[in-house]
Amino acid sequence: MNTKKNETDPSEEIKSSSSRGWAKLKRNKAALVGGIFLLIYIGCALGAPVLFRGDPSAPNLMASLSPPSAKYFLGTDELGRSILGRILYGSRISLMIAVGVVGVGLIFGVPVGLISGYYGGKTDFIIQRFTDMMLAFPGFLLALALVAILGVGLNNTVISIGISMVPLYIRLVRGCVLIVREEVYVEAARAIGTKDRHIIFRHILPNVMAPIIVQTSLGMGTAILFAAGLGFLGIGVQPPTPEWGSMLGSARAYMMGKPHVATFPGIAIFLAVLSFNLLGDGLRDAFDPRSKI
Amino acid sequence: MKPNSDPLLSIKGLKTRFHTHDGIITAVDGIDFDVFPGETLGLVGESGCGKSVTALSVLRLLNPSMTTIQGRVEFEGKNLLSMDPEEMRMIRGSAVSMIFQEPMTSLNPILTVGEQIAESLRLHEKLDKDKAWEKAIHMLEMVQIPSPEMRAGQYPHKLSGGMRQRVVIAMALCCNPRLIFADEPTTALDVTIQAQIIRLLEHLKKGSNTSIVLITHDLGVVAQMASRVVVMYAGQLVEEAPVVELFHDARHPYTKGLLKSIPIITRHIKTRLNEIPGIVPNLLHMPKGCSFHPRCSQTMDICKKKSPPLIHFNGNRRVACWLASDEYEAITDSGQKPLADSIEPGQGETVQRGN
Amino acid sequence: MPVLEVENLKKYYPVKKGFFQKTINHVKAVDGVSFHLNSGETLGIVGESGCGKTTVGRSVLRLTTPTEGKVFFKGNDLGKMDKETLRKTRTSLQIIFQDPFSSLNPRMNVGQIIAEPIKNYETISKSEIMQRVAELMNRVGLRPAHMGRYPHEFSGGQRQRIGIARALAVNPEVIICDEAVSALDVSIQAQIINLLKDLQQEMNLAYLFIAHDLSVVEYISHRVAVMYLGRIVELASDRKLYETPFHPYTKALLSAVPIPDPLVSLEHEIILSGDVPSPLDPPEGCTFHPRCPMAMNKCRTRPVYREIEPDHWIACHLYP
Repeated sequence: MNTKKNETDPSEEIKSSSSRGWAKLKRNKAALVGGIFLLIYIGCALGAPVLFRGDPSAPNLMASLSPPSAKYFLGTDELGRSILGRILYGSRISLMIAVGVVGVGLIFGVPVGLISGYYGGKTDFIIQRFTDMMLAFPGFLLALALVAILGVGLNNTVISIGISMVPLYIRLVRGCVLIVREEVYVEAARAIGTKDRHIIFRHILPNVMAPIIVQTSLGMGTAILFAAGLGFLGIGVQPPTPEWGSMLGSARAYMMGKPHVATFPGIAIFLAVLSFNLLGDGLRDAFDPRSKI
Repeated sequence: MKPNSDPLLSIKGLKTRFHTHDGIITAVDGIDFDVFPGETLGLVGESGCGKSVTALSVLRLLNPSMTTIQGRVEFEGKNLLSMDPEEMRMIRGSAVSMIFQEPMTSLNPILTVGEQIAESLRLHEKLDKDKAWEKAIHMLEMVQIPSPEMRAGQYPHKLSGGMRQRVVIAMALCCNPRLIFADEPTTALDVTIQAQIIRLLEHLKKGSNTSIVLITHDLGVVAQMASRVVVMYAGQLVEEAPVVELFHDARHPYTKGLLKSIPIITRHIKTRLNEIPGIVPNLLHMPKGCSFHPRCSQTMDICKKKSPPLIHFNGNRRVACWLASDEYEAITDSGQKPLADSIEPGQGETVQRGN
Repeated sequence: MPVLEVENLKKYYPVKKGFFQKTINHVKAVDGVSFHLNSGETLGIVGESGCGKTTVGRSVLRLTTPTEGKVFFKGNDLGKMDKETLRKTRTSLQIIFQDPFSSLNPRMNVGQIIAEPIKNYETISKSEIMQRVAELMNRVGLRPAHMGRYPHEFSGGQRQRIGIARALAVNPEVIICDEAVSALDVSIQAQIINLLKDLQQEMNLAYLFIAHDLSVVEYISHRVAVMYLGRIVELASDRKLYETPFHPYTKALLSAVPIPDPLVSLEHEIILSGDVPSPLDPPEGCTFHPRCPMAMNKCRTRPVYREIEPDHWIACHLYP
């Protein structure tokens, strides 16, 4: 009535699904590229004071709107500030935002998702309807609405985008919990007297980590994109803080004559989001148990 | 009872290797055996021994990009492994067909059962739509499905496991094959349904000269249905004998161990079951010498160094074991070559990369 | 006193339909099952798919809540216990699952898996736990040095041994073996069956051995119950049942088992017609009567399950 399982000698190395996953990830060229870019990005963020001397926000009207040259590698903006410097320092801001947003999403989304999925019933019903409501809005619009309520600035940007990401985490975690909850080893845990909270943290959470990690990587890319969007509209991180989106926004007026002011921040946003997406996709392909080898 | 006619299927030196990221897995490691017209040959072994892969290799149903197949498979004189795909397709399903293990997954859920049988008929027998449908209903009747006209129009999920397996059998038989590979045809079924299916297969075989290769791990089913048996272990053929001799006079330690480890209902014996210690070797890391020696209670020195050849005896029996070789002493003493008619596993002929 | 007593156990699953999820029907997975289990003995439960044997096992342990019926462990009604008392009682009632691949958490190592039940009930030092785990591993035939390994590094038979060690960790008195050897290769089955028998002797364990393989059940059991579509049709000592079965279904079942001996003929084979009906729509009265070669008119009413001779129970109108 059942297919017999293969009996093989375990003293030889048998690859687990996670080491298989790592091997698979390494083979994925796109993910590798994404990973390398990501390292460069983090390097820029950490090494900004070393790579660029001086205050990136200090104006120098004499050099205003200079095209790329030997002195200013990427040119200057309308206030004469080095675009390279601002991009480097801007990478710190974007990274902080990305981590902060994802942090909010995880802290609120994961526990709620776990409880909703594990206990089911009325709790689950109420939480899901609430999540439905939030997900009815496109993410960016939701973030926009929250900014309108909370106000502008770096902190509010992180909170607003973070909150808009919470329902995604709730949905994701709950979905995985529904599957893992039915696994035999969870039933076995109950049979050996494990209490509910231990079941959730010892058995269920570790087995839903993979999709959470994928979502986190993709989410960071989305966070940077949304923050740039808010910054572009002028309601995100406020100048003079060098945030790529607001740099883009103030460069709009000069698009015709001096495109370099907008182009380079644009490329920075593009590369950052792309690297998170490539890595996230690669992680999903490698570790998602539903995709075939 | 050794069949006198020419073999219907002759497998010589079949080697099937899978190329995986973890390394090369030799699922079938140089086996040969024949299948004669009208007989039921049992192909027995536990999971991972290569019995299903053997059938899939013969029918060339394996993924060509991941598999290498070597050897010769002669069916009615032609080598199936070197045929071009078109020719192979015409043979598959008509002259040689296969019954798979899980009836739910081997039937297409979005086609009616009648349609699935008719499809084969239209392809191989070149029947027109109406004639094919008629014959499909006739086939359902043959496999003893009640109300065949109604059933033909139903989808697989509406049928029980036993009925689905009958449909699969009908599909395998509809073009009058000369040879059927039945891969664990009753394993997924309840025991009373299994009895029905075994009865059915025996009944269907009576009228025709069709040969069946019965692939299974269930020794009870083999004892009931097969006339000759071939035992596989870790990709190799370890013993071949007529069915009575296999069960009552097995020679290979693995076969003997296996037979002693199963509880038999009629014997009411409650003494400790005989265990074969250890586990099947990892196909990526096969032991040196005889692949069974780490688990064998009668291992000798030579078993650890050299892989035993297949030794012929009593006319129609073969066993791959140094114990059966009379010349065991001759080899260890004087290093002489063995004298008896032992045959080396077939030499590989053409190298095939899958299809 | 028997260590386990089950009275009229029922488990019905509602079938809901429509927008408002109205209950239109019930799947009667277990429909009035009664038996007892003595300490140190094995009661085998056999039956084909849909007979409800797995549900019986789950319901006895209260891993699913029965719809009706009582389960007594050493005289205590499990249904009347509060959550914590039931949890504490679980130390005595353990289970070994069928699938050695999914019954172990892939992210916990063997040591953690076996230690978990100990940690749930006792507060002892880490080194003591490790010692207990090592002892258990030795007992089931595993090497304690492998404590830090993960389930995927073991074979199916070894994983099943891990499951057994886990079940033994808190010294149970009753173990439900739910198809415990069905997913294993034949040669490994023998190893595990021998192990289970040895453990039973050493630790005076009572087993409820649920399986579909009649040969294995007969070998390991002292008494055997045959189930069909949610009900026990016959229960007797293994010898009695296999040598002189009374119920027509038992006879058919036994005759259908292929014997691994080509010289044993099957002239006594009873071939049942038709398929096992769906538990969604069971036949009226005796659930077996539509397929029974000895069916009578009377069989449209449900036969009473009673003891016709000492410790031989049957539900059949042929034995009123």
